[in-house]
Amino acid sequence: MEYKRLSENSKKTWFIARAITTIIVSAVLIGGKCFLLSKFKFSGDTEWNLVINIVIAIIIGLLLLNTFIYPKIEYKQWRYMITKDKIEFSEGIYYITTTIVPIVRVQHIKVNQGPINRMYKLADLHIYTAGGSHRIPNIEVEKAEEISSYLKDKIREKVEQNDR
Amino acid sequence: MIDKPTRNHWIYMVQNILLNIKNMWFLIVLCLVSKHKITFIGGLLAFVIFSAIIKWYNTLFYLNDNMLVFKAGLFSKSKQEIPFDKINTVDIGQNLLYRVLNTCAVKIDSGSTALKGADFKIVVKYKLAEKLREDILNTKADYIENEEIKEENFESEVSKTITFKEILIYGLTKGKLGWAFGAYFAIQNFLGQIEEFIKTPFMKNLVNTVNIDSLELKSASIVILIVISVFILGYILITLLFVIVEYVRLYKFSIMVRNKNLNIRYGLISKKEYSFPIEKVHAIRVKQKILQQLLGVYTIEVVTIGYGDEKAEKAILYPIANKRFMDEFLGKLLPEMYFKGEIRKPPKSSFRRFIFKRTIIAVVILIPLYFVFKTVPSAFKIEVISIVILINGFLGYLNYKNTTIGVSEKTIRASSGSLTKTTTLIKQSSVQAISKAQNPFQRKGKVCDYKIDIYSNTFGEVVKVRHMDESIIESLNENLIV
Repeated sequence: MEYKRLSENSKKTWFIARAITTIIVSAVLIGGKCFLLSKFKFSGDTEWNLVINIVIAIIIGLLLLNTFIYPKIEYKQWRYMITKDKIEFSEGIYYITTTIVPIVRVQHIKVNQGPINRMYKLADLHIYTAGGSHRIPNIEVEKAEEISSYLKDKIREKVEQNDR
Repeated sequence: MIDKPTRNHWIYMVQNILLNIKNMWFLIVLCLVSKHKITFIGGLLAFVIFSAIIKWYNTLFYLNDNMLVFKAGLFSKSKQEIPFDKINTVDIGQNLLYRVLNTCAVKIDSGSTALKGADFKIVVKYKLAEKLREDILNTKADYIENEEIKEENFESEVSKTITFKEILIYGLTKGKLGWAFGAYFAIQNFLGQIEEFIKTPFMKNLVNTVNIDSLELKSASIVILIVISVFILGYILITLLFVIVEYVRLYKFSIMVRNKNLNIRYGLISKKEYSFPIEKVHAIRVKQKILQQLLGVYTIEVVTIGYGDEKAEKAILYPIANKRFMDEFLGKLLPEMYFKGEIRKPPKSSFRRFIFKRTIIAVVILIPLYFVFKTVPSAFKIEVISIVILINGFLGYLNYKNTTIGVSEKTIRASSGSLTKTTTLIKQSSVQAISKAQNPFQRKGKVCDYKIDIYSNTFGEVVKVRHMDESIIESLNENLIV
């Protein structure tokens, strides 16, 4: 069994979602700073002004990195594999995490679609065990449905085996 | 079998009234300042009493068809049914008031992680509680036995009661450095008050009584001596207090196996009893404070669903155990948790990783502070920075020493921690997921962090072991029950 990649469109959906966040947060930060400066007239204290500007620049810089660079790296790193008894996936930017979930431990599955994902016909697959939840993001809707029904069948099979 | 609908003991009603009055203190204060205080307070009390009576009257429980039925509600009524085989723990608690009335609080927990706290709470006569527990857990044993499980790896009757020596060791070795600091400040404060009372500086008097040639040296060494002795005095006092408190709390701590159920009971004034099916134990957690690490003794806790999710509630299996206990008792009691196999340590090259991160964080925080506090003498600041770095280095070393992982067909044994070492023994069948995480530096050194997701009360609880050889993932993967 080979590793599968996420949909090519995931780079676009990540970019759009993160660009919206970047614009909103930047507007709030810059607008908030300007509002506070005009309201309380802090302008005399240039040292603090510099510190605030640096903090805002760092936050916006990280957000820009998250919007323009990370989607490509994340797409490159993200891979998943569903075999007859395990779900395995690998993800991360600096820290690469590989997770293995035995199918028999899966309690339920959820297919989730946000507005941006809907535009590109993508969906997120959430896998719940008794210990926690895992997510495989941005896979084609048909594929997500296919995986979800495959997993449901597998779980049913395992349960029947255990009951016997 | 308790098949008739049964109500709580009347003390439950009284407790509810008192609790409601306590919760409504603000309203009562408002009533007191109003013009018609007697009418308002009378009305409020009547409401509180009336609602408590209705609540008591409407709360019923009984057993029916291998199910526990629980009806409750004041205005809107609810009925809950829970099959016996889904019940994870039955907990019986008795405080002084309950003991006088020969009653107890029974808490019944199912495996639901969605509900915080117990699923059912009732207050009944002690005999009735015992009967209830017997009915639920014994029927449960029969019920399962009829179905399949026949193999019995453990003896039907295993029991152990704590000795005074064990409680003494527990009290002496329990971590109390923080408490000792508290006691130190309390004693210092007390001495300060005495000093004020006699109107003569306490330190000065003490200094005058000791004849040392150099005055500066004299006062400095005396101050250090006083600080150390006050600290030691505080530590001794706290230790004594701990031993007494633990003696009262863990009085006659006993663990017993009956009908595939673990029964634990303890307490001198407030009594506590809890029972759960052995098969519902998913993992055990072995904790060791620094002194306990040196003496090779530990506290064993049970990871089971439903119990231990309330404030100050810990599912203790045994408060103070040693290797002999592990070998003799645990091997019989929970053979699946008894680890036999190779225990792997982090490679030598990982030593610097354990030290580096925590030291670098301390340095990054302390260096800017060095320049911020300009008035503090730099020699003192350097001393503080060196001590903090040394302590961090030592903690990193302890963490390196305490980190291990072992994988066998039935069990995973994972250890980590510095001042408190935690070893988790996980049943392979309770492992929910395994993760391996690697940063670029770790990738170069062929090491990684492992996360083992276990079936527990806290959703998403993981056991983490850092900087281990990356090849261990293969044996973890091989032994994973799929």
